[in-house]
Amino acid sequence: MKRVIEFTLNGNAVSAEVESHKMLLEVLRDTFELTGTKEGCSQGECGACTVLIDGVSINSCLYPVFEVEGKSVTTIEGLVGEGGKLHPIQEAFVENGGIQCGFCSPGMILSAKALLDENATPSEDEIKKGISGNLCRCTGYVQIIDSIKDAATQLSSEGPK
Amino acid sequence: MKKFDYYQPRSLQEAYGLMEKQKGEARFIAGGTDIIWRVKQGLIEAGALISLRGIEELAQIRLNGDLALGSMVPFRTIERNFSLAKAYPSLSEAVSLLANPQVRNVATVGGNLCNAAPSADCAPPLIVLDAMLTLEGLGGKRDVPIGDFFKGPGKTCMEKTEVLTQIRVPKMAANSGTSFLKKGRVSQDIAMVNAAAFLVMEGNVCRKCRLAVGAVAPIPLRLTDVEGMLEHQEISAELLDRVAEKVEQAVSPITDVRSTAEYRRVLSGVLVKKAIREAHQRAVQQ
Amino acid sequence: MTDYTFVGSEIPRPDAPDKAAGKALFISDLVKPGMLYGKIKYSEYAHARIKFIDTSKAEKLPGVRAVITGYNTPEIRIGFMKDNFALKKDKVRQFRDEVAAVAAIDPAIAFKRGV
Repeated sequence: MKRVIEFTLNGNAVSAEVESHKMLLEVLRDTFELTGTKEGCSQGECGACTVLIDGVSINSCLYPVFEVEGKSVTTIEGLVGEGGKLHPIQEAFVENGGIQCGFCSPGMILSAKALLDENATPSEDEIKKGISGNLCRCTGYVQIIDSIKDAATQLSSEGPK
Repeated sequence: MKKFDYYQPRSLQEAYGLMEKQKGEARFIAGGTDIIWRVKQGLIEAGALISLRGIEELAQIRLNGDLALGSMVPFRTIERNFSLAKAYPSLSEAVSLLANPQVRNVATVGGNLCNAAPSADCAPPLIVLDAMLTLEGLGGKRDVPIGDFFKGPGKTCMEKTEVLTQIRVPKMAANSGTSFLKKGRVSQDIAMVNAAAFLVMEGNVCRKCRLAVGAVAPIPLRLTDVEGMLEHQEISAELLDRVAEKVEQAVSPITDVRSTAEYRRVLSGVLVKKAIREAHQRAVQQ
Repeated sequence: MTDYTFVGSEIPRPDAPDKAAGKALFISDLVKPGMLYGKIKYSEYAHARIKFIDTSKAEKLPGVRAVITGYNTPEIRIGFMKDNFALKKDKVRQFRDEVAAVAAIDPAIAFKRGV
């Protein structure tokens, strides 16, 4: 069955005709051509497909697209500001070696955002728990944790948004 | 990639009506993190999925001494509920150790129980806490004690047209404590073995005991025989060693990708011992 | 002490900003007009003789443009010692050894026949 759904995507009101069996991931990548969100395992274990829905991180590979009606979706592209300016979390990953091949990075960065939005001063353990749903095959996680610690510092010095 | 219709009823009555119209070709879906992958692969036959997400009455929590937990309350909410964590730590701990943050943000206790994996993390705590499950359908409502709910791997006593609407947990007695432990290979892993304990203490003597262990039998297992060893006894290291031996005999683990039967057998005894010690400590701290 | 230009300094990764922004394109992000989607059929057995590969159903499905096996393609040797074939003939020697591949006009069709 098909339906036109309306939702907010990276701050913009959008609508699309979608099929009932599609997951949000496919619709973001194919219909909206936002390929920043990646398909890794399709089973909700690797986190490469992580997006934020109403600020909460979810695996878009398992999110029935009909459920997104009326909600606010943020993809990695949505973190980039005016004129291509990177979000402080994105900057922190670039500066701290948190990105190697880059496949896990969009999901990882969004999980970091969800974590820091809820807990601006996470301990190392809390960071590890916060990214426990995002697998990285390249970095060994150390630089990713460093990036998130740096991001936390940068964001708190900027003051509340 | 299988196709399916997707319905979003706003009330239970609407949901039952949709299920009836589908004549057995539909399945209810909660967070979807267990079944969507299997439906996509064609491992589950479903012409339609009926989502329970929009039914507000299923997402209520009432904590008032006892607990009335709506089946569609996401783990995310339970994890962050400080009062629930204080009242029923074993349930809170099980939820926070399940899967990963993204999954926990949409997955539910109802879904975890209805999926009925022998390793379901929510099962051992709810078993030792004596949970009562409310099942509802077009035919009416019925209450099922959790001990009668699981029938086999992936099987419950539910009709396909029924919905698990609520999980009720009685108030914990004074001087009682509960705990949950889980061992997986890595974080977000399915349990090799999980275990929960509930003790009511009188000084150093155990007045009441309930024990459950998962991933080592076709269903999450209540260890009634082992419980008998502890009741009216003083908890000593020697008694716990005998308890561990009895647990090893009570379980029937298999070897699979996560662990061997031999390791699981020994681990069951160890985890139950630790769960008892932790529940004991909590009971005494009260 | 010798002064080095690069050793001991922090060189920024030129590809990191695009990857952080979700702009960098990976293979699965590329879309070209008229492109086909491929799926590989893997062996479910760790060690088995290939008696017969039946590709007739796959070939008949509308939208399928090619079905290949080790038997209808040139022998392409791969691997460090060039001791393996891309598509296996006669025998599979590990779980998930490649047996056949399908190219179709959309991923759902390729998946259906790849499985």
